[in-house]
Amino acid sequence: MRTRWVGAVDDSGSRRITRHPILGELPAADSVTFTFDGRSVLARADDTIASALLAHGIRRFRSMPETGAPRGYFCGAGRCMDCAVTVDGLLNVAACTTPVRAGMVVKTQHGLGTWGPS
Amino acid sequence: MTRNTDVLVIGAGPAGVGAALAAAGEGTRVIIVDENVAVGGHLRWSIATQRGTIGDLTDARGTAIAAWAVERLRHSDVEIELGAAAWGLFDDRVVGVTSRERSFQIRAGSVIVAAGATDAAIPFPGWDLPGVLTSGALLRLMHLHRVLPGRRFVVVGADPCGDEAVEALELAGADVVTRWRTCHDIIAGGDGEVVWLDVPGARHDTDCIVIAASRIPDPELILQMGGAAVYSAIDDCFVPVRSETLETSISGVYAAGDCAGVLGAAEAFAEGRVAGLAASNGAGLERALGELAELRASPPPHEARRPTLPAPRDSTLVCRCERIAAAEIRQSIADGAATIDDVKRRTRSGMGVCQGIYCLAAVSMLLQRERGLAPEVVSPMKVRPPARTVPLAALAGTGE
Repeated sequence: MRTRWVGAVDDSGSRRITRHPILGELPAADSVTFTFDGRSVLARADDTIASALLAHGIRRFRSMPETGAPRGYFCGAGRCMDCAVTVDGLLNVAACTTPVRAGMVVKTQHGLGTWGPS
Repeated sequence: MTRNTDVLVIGAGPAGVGAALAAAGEGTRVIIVDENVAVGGHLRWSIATQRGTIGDLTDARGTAIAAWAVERLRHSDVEIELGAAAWGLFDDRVVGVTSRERSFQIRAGSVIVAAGATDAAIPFPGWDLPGVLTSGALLRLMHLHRVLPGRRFVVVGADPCGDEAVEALELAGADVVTRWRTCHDIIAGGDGEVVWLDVPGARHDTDCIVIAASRIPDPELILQMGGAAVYSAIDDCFVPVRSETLETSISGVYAAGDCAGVLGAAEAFAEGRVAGLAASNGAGLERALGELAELRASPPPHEARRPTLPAPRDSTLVCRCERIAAAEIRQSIADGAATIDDVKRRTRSGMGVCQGIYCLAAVSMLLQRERGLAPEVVSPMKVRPPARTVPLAALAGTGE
Protein backbone atom coordinates (compact mmCIF):
# COMPACT_ATOMS: atom_id res chain seq x y z
CA MET A 1 0.00 0.00 0.00
CA ARG A 2 1.37 3.43 -0.96
CA THR A 3 0.15 6.16 1.34
CA ARG A 4 0.53 9.88 0.90
CA TRP A 5 1.40 11.23 4.30
CA VAL A 6 -0.20 14.61 3.89
CA GLY A 7 -1.87 15.91 7.00
CA ALA A 8 -3.03 13.60 9.73
CA VAL A 9 -3.80 10.53 7.68
CA ASP A 10 -2.92 7.90 10.27
CA ASP A 11 -4.79 9.28 13.28
CA SER A 12 -5.84 12.61 14.68
CA GLY A 13 -2.67 12.74 16.77
CA SER A 14 -0.18 12.44 13.91
CA ARG A 15 2.95 14.42 14.58
CA ARG A 16 4.46 14.27 11.09
CA ILE A 17 5.97 17.39 9.59
CA THR A 18 4.16 17.24 6.26
CA ARG A 19 5.55 20.43 4.75
CA HIS A 20 9.01 21.75 5.49
CA PRO A 21 10.46 25.02 4.09
CA ILE A 22 13.81 23.35 3.34
CA LEU A 23 13.11 19.64 3.09
CA GLY A 24 9.88 20.15 1.12
CA GLU A 25 6.79 17.95 1.13
CA LEU A 26 6.94 14.73 3.09
CA PRO A 27 7.57 12.14 0.38
CA ALA A 28 5.11 9.31 -0.13
CA ALA A 29 6.17 6.07 1.52
CA ASP A 30 4.94 2.52 1.82
CA SER A 31 2.97 1.80 4.98
CA VAL A 32 3.98 -0.82 7.49
CA THR A 33 1.87 -2.06 10.38
CA PHE A 34 3.28 -3.58 13.57
CA THR A 35 2.00 -3.99 17.09
CA PHE A 36 3.16 -2.28 20.26
CA ASP A 37 1.88 -3.92 23.45
CA GLY A 38 -0.94 -5.35 21.39
CA ARG A 39 -1.95 -2.05 19.81
CA SER A 40 -1.70 -1.77 16.01
CA VAL A 41 0.67 0.99 14.87
CA LEU A 42 0.76 2.38 11.34
CA ALA A 43 4.28 3.40 10.29
CA ARG A 44 6.18 4.60 7.26
CA ALA A 45 8.52 2.01 5.76
CA ASP A 46 11.49 4.31 6.49
CA ASP A 47 10.60 4.65 10.17
CA THR A 48 12.51 3.32 13.12
CA ILE A 49 10.41 1.74 15.87
CA ALA A 50 10.91 4.89 17.95
CA SER A 51 10.01 7.36 15.21
CA ALA A 52 6.81 5.42 14.43
CA LEU A 53 5.78 5.33 18.09
CA LEU A 54 6.64 8.99 18.68
CA ALA A 55 4.60 9.96 15.61
CA HIS A 56 1.62 8.53 17.48
CA GLY A 57 2.56 10.28 20.72
CA ILE A 58 3.74 7.06 22.40
CA ARG A 59 6.81 7.94 24.49
CA ARG A 60 7.23 5.35 27.25
CA PHE A 61 9.42 2.53 25.94
CA ARG A 62 11.03 0.88 28.94
CA SER A 63 10.65 0.90 32.71
CA MET A 64 13.51 0.90 35.15
CA PRO A 65 14.12 -1.98 37.55
CA GLU A 66 13.16 -1.32 41.20
CA THR A 67 11.49 2.06 40.62
CA GLY A 68 9.45 1.14 37.54
CA ALA A 69 10.03 4.68 36.27
CA PRO A 70 9.49 4.90 32.51
CA ARG A 71 12.20 5.86 30.04
CA GLY A 72 11.80 7.05 26.48
CA TYR A 73 13.66 8.30 23.43
CA PHE A 74 16.74 10.14 24.69
CA CYS A 75 19.92 9.87 22.58
CA GLY A 76 18.44 8.69 19.29
CA ALA A 77 21.74 7.00 18.48
CA GLY A 78 21.48 3.54 20.04
CA ARG A 79 23.83 4.47 22.85
CA CYS A 80 21.82 5.17 26.02
CA MET A 81 19.48 2.14 25.63
CA ASP A 82 16.67 4.01 27.43
CA CYS A 83 14.44 3.03 24.51
CA ALA A 84 15.17 -0.71 24.74
CA VAL A 85 12.13 -2.76 23.72
CA THR A 86 11.40 -6.44 23.11
CA VAL A 87 10.95 -7.32 19.43
CA ASP A 88 9.52 -10.74 18.49
CA GLY A 89 10.76 -12.02 21.85
CA LEU A 90 14.29 -10.61 21.49
CA LEU A 91 15.23 -8.39 24.44
CA ASN A 92 17.14 -5.09 24.47
CA VAL A 93 16.46 -3.89 20.94
CA ALA A 94 17.19 -0.16 20.59
CA ALA A 95 13.91 1.26 19.27
CA CYS A 96 15.69 4.41 18.05
CA THR A 97 17.96 2.67 15.54
CA THR A 98 15.92 -0.39 14.56
CA PRO A 99 13.91 -0.09 11.35
CA VAL A 100 10.24 -1.12 11.42
CA ARG A 101 9.19 -4.36 9.77
CA ALA A 102 5.65 -5.41 8.89
CA GLY A 103 4.09 -7.63 11.53
CA MET A 104 6.80 -7.20 14.13
CA VAL A 105 5.59 -7.66 17.70
CA VAL A 106 7.06 -4.90 19.89
CA LYS A 107 6.63 -4.81 23.65
CA THR A 108 7.67 -2.49 26.44
CA GLN A 109 10.37 -3.96 28.58
CA HIS A 110 11.05 -3.90 32.30
CA GLY A 111 14.72 -3.31 33.04
CA LEU A 112 17.22 -4.78 30.62
CA GLY A 113 16.04 -8.37 30.83
CA THR A 114 17.08 -11.28 32.96
CA TRP A 115 19.50 -14.18 32.64
CA GLY A 116 18.28 -17.56 31.55
CA PRO A 117 15.25 -18.63 29.52
CA SER A 118 12.34 -16.22 29.68
CA MET B 1 34.91 -15.03 9.68
CA THR B 2 37.84 -12.69 9.03
CA ARG B 3 38.00 -10.42 6.02
CA ASN B 4 41.17 -8.72 4.84
CA THR B 5 41.64 -5.29 3.34
CA ASP B 6 44.32 -2.67 2.81
CA VAL B 7 42.42 0.14 4.53
CA LEU B 8 39.48 -0.07 6.92
CA VAL B 9 37.60 3.15 7.60
CA ILE B 10 35.37 3.21 10.69
CA GLY B 11 32.57 5.73 10.31
CA ALA B 12 30.99 7.13 7.15
CA GLY B 13 30.61 10.76 8.18
CA PRO B 14 32.56 13.54 6.43
CA ALA B 15 35.97 12.38 7.72
CA GLY B 16 35.36 8.73 6.89
CA VAL B 17 34.07 9.54 3.42
CA GLY B 18 37.07 11.78 2.76
CA ALA B 19 39.41 9.01 3.91
CA ALA B 20 37.71 6.23 1.94
CA LEU B 21 37.55 8.21 -1.32
CA ALA B 22 41.18 9.33 -1.01
CA ALA B 23 42.50 5.84 -0.27
CA ALA B 24 40.38 4.18 -2.97
CA GLY B 25 41.62 6.80 -5.43
CA GLU B 26 45.12 5.37 -4.90
CA GLY B 27 43.94 1.91 -5.97
CA THR B 28 44.00 0.38 -2.50
CA ARG B 29 41.27 -1.97 -1.27
CA VAL B 30 39.03 -0.01 1.12
CA ILE B 31 36.17 -1.15 3.36
CA ILE B 32 34.10 1.48 5.17
CA VAL B 33 31.79 0.46 8.03
CA ASP B 34 29.12 2.54 9.75
CA GLU B 35 26.57 1.63 12.39
CA ASN B 36 23.89 3.78 10.72
CA VAL B 37 21.68 2.67 7.83
CA ALA B 38 23.10 5.28 5.43
CA VAL B 39 26.26 7.22 4.60
CA GLY B 40 26.74 10.79 5.83
CA GLY B 41 27.09 10.69 9.60
CA HIS B 42 25.46 13.56 11.48
CA LEU B 43 25.21 15.55 8.24
CA ARG B 44 22.25 13.34 7.27
CA TRP B 45 20.06 15.13 9.78
CA SER B 46 21.64 18.58 9.68
CA ILE B 47 19.95 21.20 7.52
CA ALA B 48 22.41 23.85 8.75
CA THR B 49 24.89 25.29 6.27
CA GLN B 50 28.34 23.74 6.63
CA ARG B 51 31.04 26.31 5.97
CA GLY B 52 33.74 25.48 3.46
CA THR B 53 34.20 23.19 0.48
CA ILE B 54 33.69 19.44 0.33
CA GLY B 55 34.23 17.93 -3.12
CA ASP B 56 31.99 19.85 -5.55
CA LEU B 57 30.03 21.59 -2.81
CA THR B 58 30.70 24.90 -1.06
CA ASP B 59 28.73 26.17 1.95
CA ALA B 60 26.13 23.43 1.43
CA ARG B 61 23.60 22.06 3.88
CA GLY B 62 24.53 18.87 5.74
CA THR B 63 21.76 16.92 4.01
CA ALA B 64 23.14 17.94 0.58
CA ILE B 65 26.68 16.88 1.51
CA ALA B 66 25.37 13.52 2.77
CA ALA B 67 23.55 12.96 -0.54
CA TRP B 68 26.73 13.87 -2.45
CA ALA B 69 28.75 11.41 -0.36
CA VAL B 70 26.31 8.60 -1.13
CA GLU B 71 26.73 9.21 -4.88
CA ARG B 72 30.51 9.52 -4.75
CA LEU B 73 30.90 6.31 -2.79
CA ARG B 74 28.50 4.49 -5.11
CA HIS B 75 30.76 5.34 -8.06
CA SER B 76 33.93 4.30 -6.24
CA ASP B 77 35.46 0.90 -5.53
CA VAL B 78 34.93 1.34 -1.79
CA GLU B 79 33.17 -1.61 -0.16
CA ILE B 80 30.44 -0.24 2.10
CA GLU B 81 29.09 -2.03 5.18
CA LEU B 82 26.14 -0.20 6.73
CA GLY B 83 24.31 -1.11 9.91
CA ALA B 84 27.64 -2.53 11.07
CA ALA B 85 29.17 -1.26 14.30
CA ALA B 86 32.91 -1.56 14.97
CA TRP B 87 33.07 -2.46 18.65
CA GLY B 88 36.67 -3.40 19.26
CA LEU B 89 40.16 -2.72 17.93
CA PHE B 90 42.69 -5.47 18.63
CA ASP B 91 46.34 -6.35 17.96
CA ASP B 92 47.53 -6.38 14.35
CA ARG B 93 44.71 -4.05 13.34
CA VAL B 94 41.95 -6.60 13.64
CA VAL B 95 38.59 -4.92 14.17
CA GLY B 96 35.47 -6.59 15.56
CA VAL B 97 32.32 -5.63 13.68
CA THR B 98 28.75 -6.57 14.45
CA SER B 99 25.50 -5.97 12.64
CA ARG B 100 22.02 -6.93 13.76
CA GLU B 101 22.42 -10.50 12.54
CA ARG B 102 26.08 -11.33 12.32
CA SER B 103 29.52 -10.67 13.65
CA PHE B 104 32.84 -10.69 11.79
CA GLN B 105 36.41 -9.43 11.97
CA ILE B 106 38.29 -7.29 9.51
CA ARG B 107 42.10 -7.39 9.41
CA ALA B 108 43.45 -4.23 7.78
CA GLY B 109 46.83 -2.90 6.72
CA SER B 110 45.71 0.46 8.09
CA VAL B 111 42.73 1.43 10.20
CA ILE B 112 41.28 4.93 10.00
CA VAL B 113 39.04 5.66 12.96
CA ALA B 114 36.50 8.31 11.95
CA ALA B 115 33.94 7.46 14.62
CA GLY B 116 32.71 11.03 14.99
CA ALA B 117 31.20 12.52 18.09
CA THR B 118 28.33 11.83 20.47
CA ASP B 119 25.66 14.34 21.45
CA ALA B 120 26.44 15.21 25.04
CA ALA B 121 23.88 15.91 27.75
CA ILE B 122 23.53 18.04 30.86
CA PRO B 123 22.18 16.34 33.97
CA PHE B 124 19.39 18.08 35.88
CA PRO B 125 16.53 16.72 38.01
CA GLY B 126 14.03 15.07 35.67
CA TRP B 127 16.36 14.63 32.69
CA ASP B 128 15.54 10.92 32.68
CA LEU B 129 11.81 11.49 32.03
CA PRO B 130 10.38 10.52 28.64
CA GLY B 131 10.10 13.74 26.64
CA VAL B 132 13.62 14.92 27.48
CA LEU B 133 16.09 14.31 24.65
CA THR B 134 19.39 15.49 23.17
CA SER B 135 19.42 18.02 20.34
CA GLY B 136 20.94 15.40 18.04
CA ALA B 137 18.09 13.02 18.84
CA LEU B 138 15.61 15.79 18.00
CA LEU B 139 17.24 16.58 14.65
CA ARG B 140 17.32 12.89 13.64
CA LEU B 141 13.61 12.57 14.37
CA MET B 142 12.61 15.78 12.64
CA HIS B 143 14.78 15.59 9.56
CA LEU B 144 15.11 11.85 8.91
CA HIS B 145 11.62 10.80 9.99
CA ARG B 146 9.72 14.09 9.91
CA VAL B 147 8.35 13.56 13.40
CA LEU B 148 7.84 16.30 15.99
CA PRO B 149 8.19 14.63 19.41
CA GLY B 150 6.09 17.23 21.26
CA ARG B 151 3.91 20.31 20.99
CA ARG B 152 5.46 22.76 23.47
CA PHE B 153 9.24 22.71 23.34
CA VAL B 154 11.90 24.06 25.68
CA VAL B 155 15.55 24.16 24.59
CA VAL B 156 18.07 24.19 27.46
CA GLY B 157 21.84 24.71 27.40
CA ALA B 158 24.25 27.42 26.33
CA ASP B 159 25.79 25.52 23.46
CA PRO B 160 25.52 26.84 19.88
CA CYS B 161 23.75 23.62 18.89
CA GLY B 162 20.83 24.99 20.90
CA ASP B 163 20.45 27.70 18.26
CA GLU B 164 20.36 25.01 15.59
CA ALA B 165 17.63 23.16 17.53
CA VAL B 166 15.54 26.33 17.98
CA GLU B 167 15.90 27.19 14.29
CA ALA B 168 14.95 23.65 13.24
CA LEU B 169 11.86 23.70 15.49
CA GLU B 170 10.75 27.10 14.24
CA LEU B 171 11.25 26.10 10.59
CA ALA B 172 8.95 23.14 11.23
CA GLY B 173 6.33 25.44 12.74
CA ALA B 174 6.77 24.10 16.29
CA ASP B 175 6.08 26.13 19.39
CA VAL B 176 9.28 26.93 21.30
CA VAL B 177 8.06 28.03 24.73
CA THR B 178 11.44 29.18 26.00
CA ARG B 179 15.19 28.92 25.53
CA TRP B 180 16.96 28.51 28.87
CA ARG B 181 20.75 28.83 28.81
CA THR B 182 21.81 28.01 32.35
CA CYS B 183 21.05 24.51 33.60
CA HIS B 184 22.19 24.45 37.23
CA ASP B 185 18.89 25.87 38.46
CA ILE B 186 16.26 23.97 36.47
CA ILE B 187 14.03 21.04 37.44
CA ALA B 188 11.82 19.03 35.11
CA GLY B 189 8.88 17.04 36.37
CA GLY B 190 5.76 15.12 35.48
CA ASP B 191 4.13 11.80 36.27
CA GLY B 192 5.85 9.33 33.96
CA GLU B 193 6.48 11.90 31.22
CA VAL B 194 7.78 15.45 31.28
CA VAL B 195 4.99 17.98 31.88
CA TRP B 196 6.73 21.01 33.29
CA LEU B 197 10.09 22.73 33.65
CA ASP B 198 10.78 24.97 36.60
CA VAL B 199 13.27 27.78 36.09
CA PRO B 200 13.93 30.44 38.74
CA GLY B 201 10.70 32.36 39.23
CA ALA B 202 8.64 30.54 36.60
CA ARG B 203 7.09 27.22 35.63
CA HIS B 204 6.79 26.38 31.94
CA ASP B 205 4.28 23.85 30.67
CA THR B 206 6.19 21.69 28.21
CA ASP B 207 6.02 18.20 26.78
CA CYS B 208 9.50 18.15 25.25
CA ILE B 209 12.80 19.43 26.62
CA VAL B 210 15.73 19.52 24.23
CA ILE B 211 19.21 19.40 25.81
CA ALA B 212 21.73 21.38 23.76
CA ALA B 213 25.13 20.29 25.01
CA SER B 214 27.38 20.09 21.98
CA ARG B 215 29.11 17.02 20.65
CA ILE B 216 31.89 15.12 22.43
CA PRO B 217 34.63 13.28 20.48
CA ASP B 218 34.28 9.49 20.46
CA PRO B 219 37.86 8.12 20.43
CA GLU B 220 36.92 4.99 22.39
CA LEU B 221 38.36 2.44 19.93
CA ILE B 222 41.78 4.10 20.12
CA LEU B 223 41.73 4.49 23.91
CA GLN B 224 40.76 0.79 24.26
CA MET B 225 44.03 -0.15 22.57
CA GLY B 226 45.99 2.10 24.89
CA GLY B 227 46.52 4.83 22.31
CA ALA B 228 48.14 7.93 23.82
CA ALA B 229 45.62 10.66 24.66
CA VAL B 230 45.88 14.33 25.57
CA TYR B 231 43.40 16.72 27.19
CA SER B 232 41.72 19.06 24.70
CA ALA B 233 40.49 22.26 26.34
CA ILE B 234 38.23 23.07 23.38
CA ASP B 235 36.42 19.75 23.67
CA ASP B 236 36.86 19.44 27.46
CA CYS B 237 37.81 15.79 27.12
CA PHE B 238 40.74 13.54 26.21
CA VAL B 239 41.50 12.98 22.52
CA PRO B 240 44.10 10.80 20.75
CA VAL B 241 47.61 12.14 20.22
CA ARG B 242 48.33 12.22 16.47
CA SER B 243 51.25 12.76 14.12
CA GLU B 244 51.18 15.35 11.33
CA THR B 245 49.59 12.70 9.07
CA LEU B 246 47.02 11.89 11.79
CA GLU B 247 48.50 8.54 12.80
CA THR B 248 47.89 7.73 16.47
CA SER B 249 50.50 6.23 18.81
CA ILE B 250 49.30 2.81 17.56
CA SER B 251 51.20 2.00 14.36
CA GLY B 252 48.94 1.98 11.29
CA VAL B 253 45.94 3.36 13.17
CA TYR B 254 44.80 6.86 12.23
CA ALA B 255 42.19 9.15 13.79
CA ALA B 256 40.37 11.65 11.58
CA GLY B 257 37.53 14.09 12.11
CA ASP B 258 35.37 14.68 15.18
CA CYS B 259 36.59 11.59 17.08
CA ALA B 260 39.87 13.44 17.67
CA GLY B 261 38.30 16.85 18.39
CA VAL B 262 35.05 18.31 17.03
CA LEU B 263 35.48 20.17 13.73
CA GLY B 264 33.48 21.70 10.93
CA ALA B 265 32.48 19.25 8.19
CA ALA B 266 34.98 20.65 5.65
CA GLU B 267 37.87 20.28 8.05
CA ALA B 268 36.76 16.77 9.00
CA PHE B 269 36.66 15.85 5.30
CA ALA B 270 40.16 17.33 4.82
CA GLU B 271 41.46 15.34 7.81
CA GLY B 272 39.95 12.21 6.29
CA ARG B 273 41.76 12.89 3.02
CA VAL B 274 45.09 13.29 4.82
CA ALA B 275 44.62 10.02 6.73
CA GLY B 276 43.39 8.20 3.62
CA LEU B 277 46.37 9.34 1.55
CA ALA B 278 48.85 8.63 4.36
CA ALA B 279 47.42 5.13 4.82
CA SER B 280 47.68 4.40 1.08
CA ASN B 281 51.01 6.16 0.43
CA GLY B 282 49.16 8.54 -1.86
CA ALA B 283 51.04 11.02 -4.01
CA GLY B 284 48.67 13.84 -3.10
CA LEU B 285 49.50 13.76 0.61
CA GLU B 286 51.60 16.96 0.63
CA ARG B 287 48.84 18.89 -1.10
CA ALA B 288 46.16 17.49 1.24
CA LEU B 289 48.28 18.50 4.24
CA GLY B 290 48.53 22.03 2.82
CA GLU B 291 44.76 22.22 2.35
CA LEU B 292 44.18 21.03 5.92
CA ALA B 293 46.66 23.58 7.30
CA GLU B 294 44.82 26.34 5.45
CA LEU B 295 41.46 25.28 6.92
CA ARG B 296 42.94 25.07 10.42
CA ALA B 297 44.28 28.63 10.11
CA SER B 298 40.80 30.11 9.60
CA PRO B 299 38.88 30.87 12.79
CA PRO B 300 36.01 28.59 13.91
CA PRO B 301 32.48 29.86 13.18
CA HIS B 302 31.42 30.13 16.82
CA GLU B 303 32.94 30.30 20.30
CA ALA B 304 35.34 27.40 20.21
CA ARG B 305 35.23 26.10 23.73
CA ARG B 306 32.50 23.78 24.94
CA PRO B 307 30.41 25.51 27.63
CA THR B 308 31.29 24.41 31.15
CA LEU B 309 28.91 21.90 32.69
CA PRO B 310 26.99 23.21 35.72
CA ALA B 311 27.50 21.45 39.05
CA PRO B 312 24.57 19.03 39.49
CA ARG B 313 22.50 19.41 42.66
CA ASP B 314 22.60 16.46 45.07
CA SER B 315 19.28 14.97 43.95
CA THR B 316 20.21 14.95 40.23
CA LEU B 317 20.73 11.53 38.68
CA VAL B 318 24.23 11.76 37.25
CA CYS B 319 24.33 8.17 36.00
CA ARG B 320 21.10 7.42 34.14
CA CYS B 321 21.80 3.71 33.65
CA GLU B 322 22.52 2.77 37.25
CA ARG B 323 20.48 5.65 38.74
CA ILE B 324 23.29 7.20 40.78
CA ALA B 325 22.56 10.65 42.23
CA ALA B 326 25.17 13.42 42.51
CA ALA B 327 25.01 13.13 46.32
CA GLU B 328 26.27 9.55 46.11
CA ILE B 329 29.13 10.56 43.84
CA ARG B 330 30.07 13.45 46.13
CA GLN B 331 30.03 11.01 49.06
CA SER B 332 32.32 8.56 47.22
CA ILE B 333 34.77 11.41 46.60
CA ALA B 334 34.59 12.44 50.26
CA ASP B 335 35.28 8.79 51.13
CA GLY B 336 38.49 8.83 49.10
CA ALA B 337 37.67 8.31 45.42
CA ALA B 338 40.28 10.32 43.51
CA THR B 339 39.74 9.22 39.91
CA ILE B 340 36.82 8.47 37.59
CA ASP B 341 37.65 4.75 37.88
CA ASP B 342 37.56 5.02 41.70
CA VAL B 343 34.11 6.62 41.55
CA LYS B 344 32.99 3.90 39.15
CA ARG B 345 34.18 1.10 41.42
CA ARG B 346 32.51 2.64 44.48
CA THR B 347 29.20 3.76 42.96
CA ARG B 348 28.74 1.90 39.63
CA SER B 349 28.50 5.28 37.84
CA GLY B 350 29.85 4.63 34.35
CA MET B 351 29.31 0.89 34.60
CA GLY B 352 25.92 0.86 32.90
CA VAL B 353 24.82 0.08 29.40
CA CYS B 354 25.66 3.55 27.97
CA GLN B 355 29.25 2.84 29.01
CA GLY B 356 29.68 6.20 30.66
CA ILE B 357 28.88 8.47 27.72
CA TYR B 358 26.24 10.40 29.64
CA CYS B 359 27.79 10.56 33.12
CA LEU B 360 31.57 10.86 32.72
CA ALA B 361 31.66 14.60 32.06
CA ALA B 362 29.63 15.24 35.21
CA VAL B 363 31.70 12.80 37.28
CA SER B 364 34.88 14.49 36.05
CA MET B 365 33.45 17.89 36.90
CA LEU B 366 32.48 16.75 40.42
CA LEU B 367 36.02 15.40 40.96
CA GLN B 368 37.44 18.74 39.80
CA ARG B 369 35.15 20.70 42.15
CA GLU B 370 35.42 18.51 45.22
CA ARG B 371 39.17 17.90 44.97
CA GLY B 372 40.25 21.18 43.40
CA LEU B 373 41.73 19.43 40.37
CA ALA B 374 42.36 20.86 36.91
CA PRO B 375 40.37 19.05 34.19
CA GLU B 376 43.52 17.78 32.47
CA VAL B 377 44.63 15.80 35.52
CA VAL B 378 41.35 13.87 35.80
CA SER B 379 42.23 10.85 33.67
CA PRO B 380 39.54 9.40 31.42
CA MET B 381 37.78 6.22 32.49
CA LYS B 382 39.56 3.05 31.46
CA VAL B 383 37.67 1.69 28.46
CA ARG B 384 37.50 -1.87 27.22
CA PRO B 385 35.73 -3.59 24.35
CA PRO B 386 32.94 -3.62 23.34
CA ALA B 387 32.59 0.03 22.36
CA ARG B 388 29.00 -0.66 21.37
CA THR B 389 26.32 -2.89 22.86
CA VAL B 390 26.73 -6.25 21.14
CA PRO B 391 24.34 -9.20 21.47
CA LEU B 392 26.19 -12.19 22.94
CA ALA B 393 24.61 -14.35 20.22
CA ALA B 394 26.38 -12.25 17.57
CA LEU B 395 29.73 -12.72 19.33
CA ALA B 396 29.14 -16.45 19.76
CA GLY B 397 28.47 -16.66 16.06
CA THR B 398 25.04 -18.21 16.55
CA GLY B 399 23.51 -15.32 14.65
CA GLU B 400 25.28 -16.31 11.43
